[in-house]
Amino acid sequence: MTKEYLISVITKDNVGIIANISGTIEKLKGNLGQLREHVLGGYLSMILLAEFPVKLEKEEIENQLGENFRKFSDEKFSLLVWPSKYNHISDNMDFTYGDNYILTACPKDRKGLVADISAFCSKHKLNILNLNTQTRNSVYNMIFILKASNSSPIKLIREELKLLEEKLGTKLMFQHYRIFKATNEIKI
Amino acid sequence: MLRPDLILDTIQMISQENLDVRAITMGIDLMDCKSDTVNKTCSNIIAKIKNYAKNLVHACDEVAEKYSIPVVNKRISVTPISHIGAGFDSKGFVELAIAMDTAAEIVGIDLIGGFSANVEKGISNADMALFESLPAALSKTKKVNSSINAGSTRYGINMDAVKILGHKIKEIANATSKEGGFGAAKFVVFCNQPGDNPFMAGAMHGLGEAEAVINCGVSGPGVIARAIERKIKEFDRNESFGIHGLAEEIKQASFRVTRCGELIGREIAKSLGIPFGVVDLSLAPTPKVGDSIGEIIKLLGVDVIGAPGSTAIIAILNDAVKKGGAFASQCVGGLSGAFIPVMEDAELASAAKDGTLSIEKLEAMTSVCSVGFDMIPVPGDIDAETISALIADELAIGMINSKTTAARIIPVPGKKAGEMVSFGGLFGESVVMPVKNAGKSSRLINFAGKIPAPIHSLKN
Repeated sequence: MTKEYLISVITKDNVGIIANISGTIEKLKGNLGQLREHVLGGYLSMILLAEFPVKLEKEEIENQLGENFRKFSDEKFSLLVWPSKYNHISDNMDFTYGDNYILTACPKDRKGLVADISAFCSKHKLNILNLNTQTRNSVYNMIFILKASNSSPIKLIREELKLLEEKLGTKLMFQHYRIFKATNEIKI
Repeated sequence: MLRPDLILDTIQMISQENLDVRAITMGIDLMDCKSDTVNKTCSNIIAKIKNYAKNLVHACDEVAEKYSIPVVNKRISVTPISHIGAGFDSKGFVELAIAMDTAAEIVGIDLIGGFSANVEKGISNADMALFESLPAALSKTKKVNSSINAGSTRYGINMDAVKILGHKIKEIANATSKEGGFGAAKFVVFCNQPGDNPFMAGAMHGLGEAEAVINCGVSGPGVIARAIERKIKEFDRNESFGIHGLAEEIKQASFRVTRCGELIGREIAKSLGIPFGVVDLSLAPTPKVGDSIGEIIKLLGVDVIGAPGSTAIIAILNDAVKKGGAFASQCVGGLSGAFIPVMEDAELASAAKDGTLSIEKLEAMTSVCSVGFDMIPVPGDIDAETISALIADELAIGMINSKTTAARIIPVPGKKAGEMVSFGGLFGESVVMPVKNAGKSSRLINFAGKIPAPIHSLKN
């Protein structure tokens, strides 16, 4: 019998961090599932799902991960270990399943852009699966991957996006994920 | 997961480069509509088209809405009508054309093709009745398109038919003289005509086809032109390059464009519950600025369209489009190449006006692209034999090179070379083009008979 945990780590980026964390999980006889890792502004952020033997307590996992990390690095280290209520360890993260859409905008950078668009998504029950933003030459590129399975009707979303375009003064593109997959990947 | 730069590339293609699906064409078999009277046959045709295509426009609009990619033209092609009307006289064939037009109007599509016959080896009584009906059929209908296959690599060219069709084209133009001879824009003569072409005027549902099928014509030249422009800018910044680098860029853009067509065509077919047929890779221009094959010719290195090198450029373009598209689609068919319809392409029409692009150069270019003399307005007083001879030249290119070629020539009643003619919308406008040495080919045409099939037809 196993129990699933969600583990989150933030620290200054360096070579060997993932090896350290995954090595500790292995020593604790854990099984690593999905893992997402990003480096932003020189800091690493990682979130993962792992299964551990039922008898292993949450505190023991925290202690072992913390101790092993401190042996490896002196950098500040934020660690969260949460028991996961749902079995997501082998969820299919292929965004082409179901009705997922990509919303993109490339406006001139200003305060509140993400807040405005994410409020729109929230209003229309568009769940943000992934958000990627970056500033280039004073242009703020935003790419939202959205789950639309329980959203407002797509026609209504497109109509209201036009109003949001006027408010933000920028073009908003709302396209089905399959278009991107079809035009960029070999397998359709 | 997709990289952000790839997502933004796709967005650019959709938002700035005229990406669309150019044509969704439903092919419908009409063989079981044939009855003992013209009236019953007409009713059967209307009922069958209604039955299969009643939801075609809605399905196209729904999928276009879902993907936010427009489906520009919704069309129908049917079994060549010479088979359906066999036994009827020319008046009966006119009624069949009107029935096709009525059905097209009822289901709300743009155009219907298949008022057609295959006379590559000989003319049957039914084919002749269809020939006789053409001026009335195309002047009394709005949406009906007609095509005749008058030659093939396997059987040669039927010069008896070519001779008659020269006269028929003049009659069709004269019957629609109030609209500048527009009827002739809905009529095309082929060599090696495919039975799964989604593009008009040559769309028809071939005899080897299924009961009903959805074929798809992909987006036009805008996406390709912008991709070439970007690549040339990249080259200007930091690299030396060869024309093969641009060919590669066209190939990749063609892959993406074809994938969109494949995705949307299949989804429409699925929602209608009928099989998906082919993607036609042809780059079909429109008179809209930025959607021109002529623009691509200039981008690829000649200052004016028609200058030496223009034929080589069309060869590069046609080949790269096929290479990219063939890999992107499960089943490629139709014409699949590059169209150079003078009136429908603003840059080509402009080159015709400036005199840099002649009919002779267009003929050379058609030897390496997918169609032929397309949407070429010629003086209204041109003799029928010269029109037949232009058709014969074009069909000969197709016959010898084992490829499809066609001629859609419009003798504009009352107009001379250099005068403007406009059909509006997607049919565009152009000056009437001069035909050199007109009136000098009648002896050839009056020999009639057949041009024998080439030696490479003997493949067995």
